[in-house]
Amino acid sequence: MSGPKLTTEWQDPLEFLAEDVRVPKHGVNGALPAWKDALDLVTEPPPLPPELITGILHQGAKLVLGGSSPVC
Amino acid sequence: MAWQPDSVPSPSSPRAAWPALSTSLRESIIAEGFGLVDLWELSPVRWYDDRARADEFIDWLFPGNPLLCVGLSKSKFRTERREGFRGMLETAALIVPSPMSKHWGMTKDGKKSAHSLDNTGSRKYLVVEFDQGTADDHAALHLHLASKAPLVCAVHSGGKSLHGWYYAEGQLDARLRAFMEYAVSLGADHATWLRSRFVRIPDGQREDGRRQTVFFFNPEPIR
Repeated sequence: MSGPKLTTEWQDPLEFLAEDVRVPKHGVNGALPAWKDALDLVTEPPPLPPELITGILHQGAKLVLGGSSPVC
Repeated sequence: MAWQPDSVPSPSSPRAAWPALSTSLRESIIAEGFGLVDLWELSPVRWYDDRARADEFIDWLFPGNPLLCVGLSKSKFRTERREGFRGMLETAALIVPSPMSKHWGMTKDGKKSAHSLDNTGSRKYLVVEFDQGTADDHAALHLHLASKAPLVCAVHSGGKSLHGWYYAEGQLDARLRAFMEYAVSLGADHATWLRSRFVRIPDGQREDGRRQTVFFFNPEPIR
């Protein structure tokens, strides 16, 4: 019998938390997706959509033009 | 039905229920055959005499003379700097496993008290307590959890439970909560999730004189 492997670091709960022991995290809305570590998003940000106007507008984004009434 | 502002859960809303006991998972872990003697033998620090070392453990667990809340019993306690308790811990039973933020706080009943969530500081240790089953069962479960989180100390209550102190300083609340839910699914008492909850002082003494023996101690995660 090999001994248990002890850790000095916190392991990611998603790696050991069985699906059947998870509980809804927001009351009645148990259909939310699994947790993601914000550090993962910072480390590998999701790809940006193509730029339609350089430095101003990406595909899928909205652009609002505004001004005072005589201008518009 | 139209959306109602009052239906939005506030940050102080009660959390979702704790998970139910997963008997099959618990039994499969216990069936691996580890027990209290394994916990002791895997402890990086061990002692071979019978001297009480509560002061030494508290020096390791709470360096820097922080404010601590220590109780002889659940109704007889006080909060003061760690040095104020030196020489007294071997005969004390209870401690809040995180430093206190101030000497006094307000209880939920609006009373001034040295022991309240209001004057408990940020979480330093998450204590997991198993009290159902045998001491060997509890040790097996803590050894399992110790592969998921840094176990620093395992203390026998002198009664029927084994407390594991997991080093939690700086960890995200969501991660700690997930770990606690996992522990609860193995049969742990969720009561120690409350930061201000009293737990057994390592190598302290119960009110009836029984020793709260330490079976595992690993200061490495604290360094």
